Amino acid sequence: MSLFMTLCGAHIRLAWRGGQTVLAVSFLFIAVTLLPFGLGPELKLLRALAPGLLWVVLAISLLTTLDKLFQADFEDGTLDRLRLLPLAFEAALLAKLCGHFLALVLPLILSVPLAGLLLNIDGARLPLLLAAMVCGAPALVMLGGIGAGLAVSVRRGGLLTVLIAMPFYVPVLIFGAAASQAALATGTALWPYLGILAALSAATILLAPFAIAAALRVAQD
Amino acid sequence: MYDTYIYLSYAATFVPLAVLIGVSFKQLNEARRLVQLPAESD
Amino acid sequence: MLKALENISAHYANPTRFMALAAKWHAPLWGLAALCLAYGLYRVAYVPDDYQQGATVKIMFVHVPAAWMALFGYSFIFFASVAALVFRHPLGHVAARAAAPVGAVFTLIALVTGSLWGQPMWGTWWVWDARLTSVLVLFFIYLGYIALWQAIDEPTRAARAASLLAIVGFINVPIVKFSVDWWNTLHQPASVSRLARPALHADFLYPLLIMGLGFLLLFLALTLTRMQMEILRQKLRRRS
Repeated sequence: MSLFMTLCGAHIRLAWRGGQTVLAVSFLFIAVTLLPFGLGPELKLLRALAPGLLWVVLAISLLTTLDKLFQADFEDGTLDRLRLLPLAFEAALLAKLCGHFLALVLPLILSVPLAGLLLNIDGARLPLLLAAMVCGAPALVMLGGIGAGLAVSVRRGGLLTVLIAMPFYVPVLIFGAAASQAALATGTALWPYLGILAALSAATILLAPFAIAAALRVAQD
Repeated sequence: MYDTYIYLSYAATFVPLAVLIGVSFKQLNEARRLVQLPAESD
Repeated sequence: MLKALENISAHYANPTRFMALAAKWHAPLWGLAALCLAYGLYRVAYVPDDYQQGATVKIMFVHVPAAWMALFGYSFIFFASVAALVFRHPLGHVAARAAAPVGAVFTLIALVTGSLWGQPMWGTWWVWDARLTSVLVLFFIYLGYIALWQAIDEPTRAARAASLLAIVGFINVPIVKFSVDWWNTLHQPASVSRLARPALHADFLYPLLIMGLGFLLLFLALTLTRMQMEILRQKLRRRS
């Protein structure tokens, strides 16, 4: 367990020191800033679109962080050493992914309120949107991890990772956005949507590490 | 009246297929040719 | 029965033997595909106008079989990948890689013909109805799969990574289908956007099935051609 925590902490430190958190959050704000230039500054329109737009921007920002997930460790041999630890390889990877979530994804989610402000989001709906994101983002991290694992041996494999991960993101985005819409429309129960998102996250947390481990083993052998 | 769409659809079906068939056979024949070549040594 | 299949697949696991089999069946398979498609097109030419769609119903006879092949193609890749990774069949990777562009082209055809079918009906070039959207996502699945093959230099590694992606991705396909269907019912647009049709009358059903069979034979013939090509390329790589 403590080994798990150590690995998790190591990945968090790696992410912070590399300035990845700042970069990811900056990317989120850049993307949100660009939107009104494309959509027009009309506040009512932005308010209506805000939850969906924020979900998509969150997903894309997450996708940009993925290529740093395993590549550094793959190249300097740390991944090989991870396999030799008494901890199962899958568990070690889960630790890294948890670190990734804590260091990069949580800051992104925490930035959403401010970004939502730029899009004139309805403040009352914001907590519900954030709840949906917290329930669904783990799934996005796990699924993105599969893409990162498969593309790890490819130099400049960032775009390849995005292409691989994109079809997996579709169901999560659909349910995440639906949860946000439910947050928007009063009287619609939010809990079923949160439940589906949480179930997706739980399933991916359980299953993705095996796929990622298999992918990394393919790259290492 | 909408016949253009029908023609376009059938073109959109069989032109890409023809291209894929052509490319595939070209690749196959190229591979066959290369396999026949005596192995390059030295 | 299963044992017989096992024996057959083991017998043809040897690339040389497979190439001999392929050489024998290559021309007949193409001939059969051509005949079936020709007959299918002949039948389609005489299809009556639809009560609602008029003559544009004829687009259905290429759009629907293409969509079927898009899905069949990915299933084919999935089973070939399982054969390669799980059962270590030597020809699994070859089959999967050979089939990928074929499936991708059929997916593209399904998208374009779907768009062309929708325009006379609804006046727009694209609708986010459940089937078209699912096929669009499937197109990206194909692209990612093919890109992975291309991106990794070392062939064995590329093969294993691609097979892994195919297997994991296959689980995603029904999930995408289910969620897209659900998403579509949520956001029901003003006009009823269903490219799905009620139970088909025999006048439409039989030409559709014939075209479907023709497309299937074409898929198999193309894949056989490409499999031979991939095996030869593998041979060339091993030589150098």
